[in-house]
Amino acid sequence: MMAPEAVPEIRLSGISKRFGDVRAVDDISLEIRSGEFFSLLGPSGCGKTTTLRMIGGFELPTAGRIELRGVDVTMAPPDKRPVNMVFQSYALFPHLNVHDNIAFGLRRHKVSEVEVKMRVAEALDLVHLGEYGRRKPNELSGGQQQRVALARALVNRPQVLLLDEPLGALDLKLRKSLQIELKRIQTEVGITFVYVTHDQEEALTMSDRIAVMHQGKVEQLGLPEELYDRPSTRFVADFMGSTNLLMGRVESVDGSIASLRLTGGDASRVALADPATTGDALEISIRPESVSIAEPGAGGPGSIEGRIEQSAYLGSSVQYQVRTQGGALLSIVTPKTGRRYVTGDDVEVGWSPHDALVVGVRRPEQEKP
Amino acid sequence: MTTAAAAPTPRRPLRDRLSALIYVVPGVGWLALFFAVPLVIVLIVSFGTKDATGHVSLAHPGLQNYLRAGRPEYVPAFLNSLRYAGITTILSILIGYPIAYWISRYGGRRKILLLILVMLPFWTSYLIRTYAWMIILRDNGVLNGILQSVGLISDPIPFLNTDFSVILGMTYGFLPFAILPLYVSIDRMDDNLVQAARDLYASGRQAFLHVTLPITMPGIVAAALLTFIPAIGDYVTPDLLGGAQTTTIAKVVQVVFQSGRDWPYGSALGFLLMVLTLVGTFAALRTLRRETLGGG
Amino acid sequence: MSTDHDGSSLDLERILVRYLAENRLTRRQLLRRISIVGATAAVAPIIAACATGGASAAPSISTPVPAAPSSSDAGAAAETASPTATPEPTPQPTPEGELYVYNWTQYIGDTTVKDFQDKYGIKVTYDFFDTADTQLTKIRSDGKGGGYDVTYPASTDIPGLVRDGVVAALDLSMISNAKNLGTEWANPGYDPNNAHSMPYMWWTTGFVWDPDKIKEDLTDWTALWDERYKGHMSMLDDVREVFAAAAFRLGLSPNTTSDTDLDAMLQLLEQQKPLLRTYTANDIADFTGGQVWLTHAWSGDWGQMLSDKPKTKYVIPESGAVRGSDTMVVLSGAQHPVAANLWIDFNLDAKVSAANTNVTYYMGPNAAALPLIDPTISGDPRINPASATLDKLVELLELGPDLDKYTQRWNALKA
Repeated sequence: MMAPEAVPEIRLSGISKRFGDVRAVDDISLEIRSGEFFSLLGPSGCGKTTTLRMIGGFELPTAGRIELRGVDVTMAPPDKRPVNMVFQSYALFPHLNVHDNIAFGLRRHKVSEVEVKMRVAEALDLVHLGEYGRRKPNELSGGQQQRVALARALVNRPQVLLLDEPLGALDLKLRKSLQIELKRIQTEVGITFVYVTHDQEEALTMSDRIAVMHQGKVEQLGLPEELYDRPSTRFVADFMGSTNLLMGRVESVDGSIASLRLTGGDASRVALADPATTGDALEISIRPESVSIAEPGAGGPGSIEGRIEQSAYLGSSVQYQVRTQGGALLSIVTPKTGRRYVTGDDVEVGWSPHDALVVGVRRPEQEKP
Repeated sequence: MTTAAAAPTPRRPLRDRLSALIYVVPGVGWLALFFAVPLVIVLIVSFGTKDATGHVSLAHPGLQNYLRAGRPEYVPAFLNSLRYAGITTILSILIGYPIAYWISRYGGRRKILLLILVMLPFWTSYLIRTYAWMIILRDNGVLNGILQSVGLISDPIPFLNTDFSVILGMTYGFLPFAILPLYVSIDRMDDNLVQAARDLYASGRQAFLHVTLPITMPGIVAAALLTFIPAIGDYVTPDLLGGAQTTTIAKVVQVVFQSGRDWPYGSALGFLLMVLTLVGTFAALRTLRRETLGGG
Repeated sequence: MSTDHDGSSLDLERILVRYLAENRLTRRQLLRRISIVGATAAVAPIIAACATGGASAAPSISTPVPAAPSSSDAGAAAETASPTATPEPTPQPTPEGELYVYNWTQYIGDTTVKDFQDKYGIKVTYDFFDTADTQLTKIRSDGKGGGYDVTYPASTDIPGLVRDGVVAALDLSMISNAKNLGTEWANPGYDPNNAHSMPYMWWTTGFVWDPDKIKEDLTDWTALWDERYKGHMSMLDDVREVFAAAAFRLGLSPNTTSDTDLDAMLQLLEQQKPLLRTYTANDIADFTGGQVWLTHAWSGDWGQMLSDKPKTKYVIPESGAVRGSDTMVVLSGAQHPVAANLWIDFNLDAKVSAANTNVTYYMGPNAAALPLIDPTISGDPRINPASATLDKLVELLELGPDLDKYTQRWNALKA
């Protein structure tokens, strides 16, 4: 038997959702812990919003089961679930002022007006909008509307707060500051957040755990740093930030380090998480910031010769595009404090075998002649 | 100090404003010629008198026609008009709202087709459609025939020439005028608002009452106006589907013009009806705005 | 087809009016046709007319033909004209090519318009009204006929129309068929020597009932106040006729202008109103539609009801009834006065007049036509009563400004 504290806040067991012939969500099972900031991350159309809406009760799953704290809510309507949602478009009621928007859920639960006033004031304070109670939604900025939407959901003290790309419509600067504020609020109220976003940076900044979704399935689930540093698939590696993906064939294996001959002829090494044998074709991922760059002859053993094709100044760092001798194009990001190169400079590039991740393996017998 | 308020707003060049004006001239001219001018003529005639030969005379202009209009014998006709128009308006909205809602939410790709179907009756003359209702409603008509053949009734029910037939005919005639503005306001509403209400513990009914209804209120008001205003002056339906007990103010005006050949009096009655309709409409609008849009 | 209905001047409605005119279809006939074949089928040809005939301005009946009368197909009219024709003393003026006629619905023979066109090559535009109010409003709108050449006012209205210059003097030299009139019509009180009008048809006003619904034999106006028939009775939508019915019940003159008399009549009519289904301009359709069992009616309308309900009964009430006549006049603003006088002369031809009566069930003033009328019509004392009966009936007189006393009460009654 499971201990009571081990009952997850949310448990999805094999849920699927079809729209006609389209499998929007395809047999997902996962558990979300109490008090966790959990993100569903993926490109548009990956099924993350549909999954969120099934937890909220706005879509019914075609198959599977949804439990909140061990209670089956699979078929319950939204108003019978102890969860609240912050909509991407905010969905503030245009005919009600901020106060009445926030009070909406409390009044449906027949909370006394005295308590409504108190709790709405608290919620407004929580989102730093104390003075805005009498305004209509259309008299507020996008960021303020976002905070009202948050307050309107939180005031009901739900077990779980669902957020559907809540910052998607805001500009970058506002988004950054609201990310911090959202995290602060989540810590303050201590309830479970399920957060849908397509912005990997946002997910990395805020989440305790992230599920990366692709084509209706969970591609990888883990801590932010796991996903970033040890993506298990090519898709995750690519999606979690820009990366260099290279193909190579194993020439020899020495303990956990394999020597590769990259397509085009460059030589490289990679640390193996799973065993590989000579002749295997591996796809490896190296983050741009993990690639070192040096003047010719200064690159050390295992370096690859190349030439700068492009350089871009990014403020705190510099980004180079380097064409290797073997013809591969590598993206490299270095701190701006180092030596600067210009287009046409010959360089040597390299990386530690432990920074190169195998994200795909093809055995020779799988290859077509 | 409010220096910002004094900042001049940039004005568009005179030439632009003039050329914009040119496009307005035909419309304004049309309205002036075919709406304002006849109205002014009606107003002038309403102050005149009928001479011995039945011609309009403006020799002794005065308010006598307006004073006569207040006579108590016209009160029933006026109340009838109000009642028919009021019930027609309420029925049109009660029937039209679900239809508009359904087309907007579930019409999918067939929305336009469904809206065309709503408008379809307009492809036939209103007069002919009203005659068709006579065929259906009369004592040996289609409806009584069906009721009798299934044995629900033995003697025909008098549908025709009653309040029922007048209200039915008017509701039938004005329903499309209600559905279109209702459709526009419902279709424009963000579906997420209903979901947000459901998320905030509102039942389906509460979500409708507290969110959908207030947000689509402008459409309801537009539908009410587009139904009530033509309904209160409608002549054809009460004339053809009504009877001796269903006289409306429009019918009175017609009798004054035709049997009495008293154009000044008829003009005064018509003008008074128009003013009362306008005043009533504005009063209703103001009350509605205060109540639904809150004290702002 | 009345053209007074509200302002919704849809194209389709104009086309409908034209369709009705072309096909000689009245509002009553349309209703009847719809009831027989169903609304869709009845309206289908109109829709078709809308699609195909909408652009053509000329109604099909108006196809001009050469002016020369053809003895083979001008038929009856031409032949009857010849034996009575005397050598023309002066050359006749040349008729215009067009004629605009404004008449009651269903108040002319089936082929009269066509026969006239065939005989004279004059294109006739034939338009309808369904109440006298509509007719008078229209022809008085410009004080000279509202654009029509010929119309059919009640004899009662003639003095006023003459006084106000709405109708023109007839060219009696063109109306040789006036000699066909019975002697009693030669010099009527409302229009000495028929200088401005020629009599067209005459009638009595009584009431009809459906013996399937009302078993007893009705004889007098009190039937129309009988509570047992509440909701199944109607009165004509005609101010003078309705007040006349009340006057006969009270033993008063239907031409009274005494306020006391009129108030008493109004009081009686207000007692009657709650019992009525309609004040009707469609008495035939209301009756054949089944909802009305007992209706105030003109004698000819009864005749037309017989084709749907052959058992329908008509009575000239004992306590008194109205008799009246309609006339043909040339309007003072007529653009085609020669054709208009020809039209009137043509309708006084014995065969044409008889053909008109055989369709409308209204008796004409035409003595020469009597032998040609269907004997079931001319022999029916309810349509063609003996002169002893007729003498007891009352003609409605023109009241001048005193008409207002009626219309004001009429308005109050209907409101």
